[in-house]
Amino acid sequence: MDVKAILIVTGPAEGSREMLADVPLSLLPALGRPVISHTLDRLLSFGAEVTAIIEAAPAAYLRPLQRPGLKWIQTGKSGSLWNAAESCFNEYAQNGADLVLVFRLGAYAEFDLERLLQFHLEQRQRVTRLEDPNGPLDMFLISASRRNDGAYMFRHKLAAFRTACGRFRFTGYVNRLADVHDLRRLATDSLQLKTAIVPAGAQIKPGVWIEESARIHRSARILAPAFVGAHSKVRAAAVLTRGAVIEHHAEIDCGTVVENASVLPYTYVGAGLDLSHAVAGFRRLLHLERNVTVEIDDPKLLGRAPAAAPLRVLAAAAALAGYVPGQFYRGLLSRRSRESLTESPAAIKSPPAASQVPAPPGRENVAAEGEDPKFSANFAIARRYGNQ
Amino acid sequence: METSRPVIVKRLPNHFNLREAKRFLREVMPILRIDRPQVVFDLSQVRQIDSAGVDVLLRCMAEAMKRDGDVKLAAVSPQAAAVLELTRTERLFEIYYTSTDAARSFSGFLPNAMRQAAREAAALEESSAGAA
Repeated sequence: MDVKAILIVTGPAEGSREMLADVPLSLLPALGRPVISHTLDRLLSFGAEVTAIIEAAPAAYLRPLQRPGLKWIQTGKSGSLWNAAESCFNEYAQNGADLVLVFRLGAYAEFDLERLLQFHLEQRQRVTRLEDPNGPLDMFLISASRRNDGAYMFRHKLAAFRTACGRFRFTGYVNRLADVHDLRRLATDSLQLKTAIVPAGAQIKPGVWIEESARIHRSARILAPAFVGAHSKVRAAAVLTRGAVIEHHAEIDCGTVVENASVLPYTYVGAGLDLSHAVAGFRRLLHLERNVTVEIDDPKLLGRAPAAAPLRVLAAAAALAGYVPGQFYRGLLSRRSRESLTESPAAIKSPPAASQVPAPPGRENVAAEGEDPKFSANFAIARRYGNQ
Repeated sequence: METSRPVIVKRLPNHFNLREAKRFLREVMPILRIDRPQVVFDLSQVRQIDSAGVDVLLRCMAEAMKRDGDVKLAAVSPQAAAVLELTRTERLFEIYYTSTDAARSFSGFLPNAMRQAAREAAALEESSAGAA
């Protein structure tokens, strides 16, 4: 049986909400590989010919998806994506395909493809829609001979159908990837081996996966479960714990703690920070517990490395070249602005009231003439200076 | 004897970045240079805060504490709270839900504690006298 597949990844032109900084969530990595690549690999291993139709996305996020047997269509303006999907469906039908899988991503779902085909054929459906206990998904199996049904669906952006479609209900793992919370949940579920996604790289100790080209300082601590992606850097005294996920080309500077958080690709996290319960990337901090997004335009806290390798090399060279002059000028400026040491306040020099010789009975609170009044000995000095 | 000194409540700007932080510091520095300053910063409007903003908050607290005063934060917006948590500075400040609570805390904390201690001492004396 000839089975083909069309993967549709909608973007900002289609008003998709499953995005982060104009990059569809399914193109962002979960444990080293883009979410869409897990779906792609399953379809390709099944022997299906796959066409991926994607709205314009940065090349850096599309490059890891290149595979033999995968056809790419990139569209720009609104509407052309669904036209491309319809013409692709028609082309498959003309070339003798029997069944066409149409997935709008989004969602990551683990289901038995053979059982789906069997269900579709046994029920003699024109269109079968996948659904999990939480409701239907934008995943369909369409008989290629039903071109009108397919055309109708594409013209209505998979939201309306000519005839009632069959429902294939499955109970496998589903993550709808509706927002960044779901992306983080997918990463943690995969680290806890609840999904079929295997983290990229080698498992150096139970629950800790590190890709080969990652650079980790020997004084950094990594506690399971955790993942460190390719070309990422974890600097001295950094701590990764409780499901920390550092995606490729990310950098964690000295002394920073990453706890139950994901750092997206090409993100720099500054020194001495405490990144917890959050997703950091694209100069944004998405705090998952507070459910808030903060835009941070400060390279001391969150920075962004260029996605293109030559630009990254240039930026690193410029930083290296500017280091020595920068230190020189910093030294000059700090000397000018350095405050001279002041005399210690008199209160520090004077002995505490409790250690002084007590006044005669009945004269505790009476100050001698010309002297400052003193506290009686039974008063403890709760706070002499604020910074103590 | 109880004395009440004024508590100054200052609202931080929407974008508390380097430029705004410098301007803000110039404004509040005279307030912080009085004896035992009591200052509340209202962060309810803050939508963006960077390392310069956090630095200014810490500097204000240091200045206030040098003079035996204090700086407290109130109505911290979720965005500001996230950045304070990221920079590990939220644990250095007393944080209140509202500016009123923060202002009230200045008059309430130390005298009340002392009053309580005095009451306990008096009660103890009375009980010991009664027993004798």
